[in-house]
Amino acid sequence: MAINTFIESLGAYIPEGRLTSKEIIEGCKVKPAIDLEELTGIKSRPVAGENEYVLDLSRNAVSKCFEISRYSPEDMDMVVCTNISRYNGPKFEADFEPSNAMQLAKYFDFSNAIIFDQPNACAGMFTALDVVDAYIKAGVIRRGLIVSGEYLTCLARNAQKEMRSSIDPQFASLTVGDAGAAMILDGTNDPALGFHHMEVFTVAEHSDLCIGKVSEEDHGGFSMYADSARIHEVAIAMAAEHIGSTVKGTKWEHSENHHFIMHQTANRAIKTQGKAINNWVGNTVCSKENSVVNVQDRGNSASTAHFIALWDHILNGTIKSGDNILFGVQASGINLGVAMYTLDDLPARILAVEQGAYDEAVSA
Amino acid sequence: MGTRVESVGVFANRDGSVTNSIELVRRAAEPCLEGSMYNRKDIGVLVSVSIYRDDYCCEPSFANFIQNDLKINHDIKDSSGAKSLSFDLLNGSMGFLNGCQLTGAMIRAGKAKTGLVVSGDVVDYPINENSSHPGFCQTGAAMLLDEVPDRDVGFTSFFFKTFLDSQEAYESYIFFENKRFTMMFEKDPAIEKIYLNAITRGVTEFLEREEIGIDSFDLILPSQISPGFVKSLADALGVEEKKVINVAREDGDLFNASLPTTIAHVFENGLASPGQKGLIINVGSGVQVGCAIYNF
Repeated sequence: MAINTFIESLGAYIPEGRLTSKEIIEGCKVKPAIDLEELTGIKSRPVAGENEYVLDLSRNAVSKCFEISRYSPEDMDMVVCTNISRYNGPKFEADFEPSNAMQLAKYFDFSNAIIFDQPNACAGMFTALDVVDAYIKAGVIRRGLIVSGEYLTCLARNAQKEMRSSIDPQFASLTVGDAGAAMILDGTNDPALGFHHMEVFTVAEHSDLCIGKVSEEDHGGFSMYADSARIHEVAIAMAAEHIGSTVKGTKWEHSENHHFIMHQTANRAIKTQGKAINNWVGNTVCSKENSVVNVQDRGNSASTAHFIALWDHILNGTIKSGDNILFGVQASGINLGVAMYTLDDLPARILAVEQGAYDEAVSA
Repeated sequence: MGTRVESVGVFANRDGSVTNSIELVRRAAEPCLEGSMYNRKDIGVLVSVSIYRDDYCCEPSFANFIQNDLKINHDIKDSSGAKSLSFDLLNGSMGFLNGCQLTGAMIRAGKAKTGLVVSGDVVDYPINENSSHPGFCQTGAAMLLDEVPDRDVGFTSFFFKTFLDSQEAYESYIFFENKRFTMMFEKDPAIEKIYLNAITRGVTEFLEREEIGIDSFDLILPSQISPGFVKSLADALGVEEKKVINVAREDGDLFNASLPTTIAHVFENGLASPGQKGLIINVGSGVQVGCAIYNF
């Protein structure tokens, strides 16, 4: 049985459309009093195309993941979809049955896998990591695919129409971006590789601080209402204690040891979280140099955010084969988590497939 | 080590008076927790498998609301003591069986001491005029699973098979038209026949994999879609009807509550003695068939 689990492959799909923060604000019926770009650091975010939906984002990410992997779809023992949004067709169609994972199974032919959806807000992919890790370590499966396609800019479109005041519960909806991410989790007997520690838990008394549901307005669609200040207050303090107590006394309490990838919400929030962790530990766990911040061109892509950040920073050469990563999880619910991870040669394998395309995109 | 059903609770809601998911789950989960030897703080993982829930809320997960409602490590102030992870598992009426396997894996991997799987499916939006009838009973169910030293007790083997060619046989979704969201259920009129065909193929493959004959089972615990469906399933598998638990209701499919309702019926009526073997058979959209061996 495997000692550790590791990310054997990673795939991302970033839709080509872009929406700037300036354009978002200009489209608001009631303009927020706060400067969105200044507060969050988000300049623009990817937007799904006119005929792209959740399953398209997921499918493209899975295809990329298999392009990089040594495995084929028939090798998957488990497939888990973690997207929050289930927006899958015109007229705001959102699916219940069959599951999104089942619909992907038809496209890729995962007929022998254990298949289900397992959303858990922005902690969805991490919760699935914890679950698939358990299946592998319990000897139930050899490996599993985790995928999420987040089509969330529909929330921003509704917030533009529905915000009633300059400080509105839908303000956080203006920060989201669309993306797809997929990864294959596999087992290894090498204790130096993969996830050394992983833990996610829920502080459910705060479950009503962020609610996403269908809009009750005449224009339809989906809306999200968040008490951002309260979430920030609770999540930052508890995450500092959780991450801090996990790393204290280990090599992970030194920022030179690892990259730090927090949930990507806003520049300032990531910085504040890093400071709170450092204060709790009494050491520099998170520095400007080791903190991965990806929001400028991605916005908050919810459950995919950590893995889009990882993907981008592998492509730009910041994160390399053999590097360590400290992941911090924060999500509505409130779900919190931490993971300590050592990469294998995944960055080199991703670059071998993607470098040409990435260089082309950067020079363009 | 085996994973067993330590406690089970079912709220049948026969008069249909409860119409929200949280209340349905509460009415099933409270007696389940009261009947358990464990405290709430011992529950390390809480999985909600409800597909159709209040308000079509997609964030946070419905399980987070349930965890808070049931007061399961919901108000911890730091990460040092007992804590729980809650999340949704969505997979049509296969959710409960998936949830049992998942909880067993989490326990065996050392991530939880016990786990609670719950469901409370309701239709909370108007049904579209072109829709088939939803067809399921609005019930609540809860099952607490734990680990036992004897690896031959409880769930010993799971099997899931998907028949992707039949994926369109059952679809449900919500959509917006004429300034309102409505629910749409699209079911093949021959859905029960499609399910029976999938079950026959899936069960055969499972039994071959396990190298066991169907006669080795003392009880069969199938999806409780309708009384007639359960009878047809016995015929299709060639097993004596008296071995097949039939607690199906005339007023609708027990859907996600099928497995907990059959298990509760077996426990409450003393239908299984220690050492007896049950074959769990689930079927649902996809079309997927799930099987498990349960040693009482």
